[in-house]
Amino acid sequence: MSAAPAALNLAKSPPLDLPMRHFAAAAVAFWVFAAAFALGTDRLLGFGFQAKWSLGLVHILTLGWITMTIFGAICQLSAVLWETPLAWPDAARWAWWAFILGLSGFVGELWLGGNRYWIAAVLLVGSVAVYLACFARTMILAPRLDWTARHLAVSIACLAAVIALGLMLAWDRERGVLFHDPQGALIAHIHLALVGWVSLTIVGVSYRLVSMFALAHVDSKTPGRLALALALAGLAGLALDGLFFGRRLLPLWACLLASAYASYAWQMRHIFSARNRRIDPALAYTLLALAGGAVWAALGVGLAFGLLRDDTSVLAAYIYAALVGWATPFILGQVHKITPFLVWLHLFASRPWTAKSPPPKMTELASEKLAWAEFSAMIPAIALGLAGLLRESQPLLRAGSLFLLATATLYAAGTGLTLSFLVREGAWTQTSAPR
Amino acid sequence: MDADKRAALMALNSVIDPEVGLDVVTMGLLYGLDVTPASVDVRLTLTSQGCPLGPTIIKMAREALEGIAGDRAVNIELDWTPPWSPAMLSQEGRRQLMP
Repeated sequence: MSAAPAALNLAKSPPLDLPMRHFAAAAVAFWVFAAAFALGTDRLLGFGFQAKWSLGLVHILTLGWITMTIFGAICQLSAVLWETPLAWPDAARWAWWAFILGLSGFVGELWLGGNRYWIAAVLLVGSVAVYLACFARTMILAPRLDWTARHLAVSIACLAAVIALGLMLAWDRERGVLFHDPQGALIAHIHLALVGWVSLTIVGVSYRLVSMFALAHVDSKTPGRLALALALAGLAGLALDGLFFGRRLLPLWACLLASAYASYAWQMRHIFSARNRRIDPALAYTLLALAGGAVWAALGVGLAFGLLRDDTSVLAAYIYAALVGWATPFILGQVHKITPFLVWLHLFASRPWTAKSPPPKMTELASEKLAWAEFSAMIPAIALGLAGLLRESQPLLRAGSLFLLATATLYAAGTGLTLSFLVREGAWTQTSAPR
Repeated sequence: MDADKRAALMALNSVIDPEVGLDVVTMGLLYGLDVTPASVDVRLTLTSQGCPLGPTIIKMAREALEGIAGDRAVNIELDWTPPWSPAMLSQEGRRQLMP
């Protein structure tokens, strides 16, 4: 038995604007990506991975949408998961501006065909370095790091490697002196990002959040531990092989990574089997992400073993499965839970309540119908997009891109409604200290 | 059950976990309730030790009990033994969560 930790977590939460400004910017980036994708489907079939347009498209999604959302979530999760306030929140707020400016300049210059994307890239890298310093300092100060935090510690280290390698690739793009196998270095960069940064973050967070949202208690963590070990072995092998050893053992690394995914999926199966709640949009999105991740893993094994043709359309399908099929539905699902939680925490948690005037439930703070509509558009967006890329079919790809644009539009509309509600309530910069 | 204890239970019935949508009694979070002339003593648990809404639920329970306690002191203690599990959900709670 222990005494109640009076308002421990509330006092350590950052001001509401810190996570919310990240979610808002991420929603805009997701919409810009979806709109550019829909407008430029004719450029995607048969594109070159070094083409500036596709480089811009990938980075608006990976940095603007996925990374920005993860950064915003970590700003908040540090307080509730590790009982430690985010270190240097003002630095994180400035880093947000630098990140936005850097990413806008970087992608804008790529899309306009310019060669000065370097300048913006340096600003972008500087902002990420500030974020990484904030997160690392927070973890050092935390009294204990849970299973989720250990995943995040690894994924943050991977992000540092992604950024360093990306900067070297950008510098070397027209010089060709740093890497004897630029394609291998690009493969290392892509997988450090997709597996090391994005996927390990998702996997670590899912053990905590999905089991909490599903009201499922699972005792065995063995499949999850195995998944982490296999993923680290596969990722390290793939990155080193791509950078230094001429990509000789790609099938082995692909098998390790696919096994890691299978082990993770097995752990998630336990969670869903033990769930005590109906499937809501957040859990439905998680199931969709698990399906997308399975397609991604299968495509990776197929490419590594030469079972699929190694051309840009299949490679694009591989990247699409990872970013749009796996990462995006998972993020959408969690944010549909995190945003109402934040609003409730900052607006309602500190108010005195009576039985006659109870506080609202979190489900009353967001439209479930809007979330289901968004989810319904996401399924064909993934399926048709993948089919369009694999079959090199322009009509299928265009249809998939339009569904994705519908998803992004609905999501941006939902985010906009939440933001306008917060501004009306005067809660934008409010801390969660008692009123 | 005496009237004071029933009133305390009714008060706790009004404390809703805002994420799950169920009250703490239906959730099976109430481990003990004792009403004496001097105090209202409650042992509560949370769905997990890192439950982000834990402190808020405790605050809401305290406010609800203070509404019926009169001059009595309200003591709320967190009890982690046994750890909460979904098996502790009441039948009604189960029905509402998995219709």
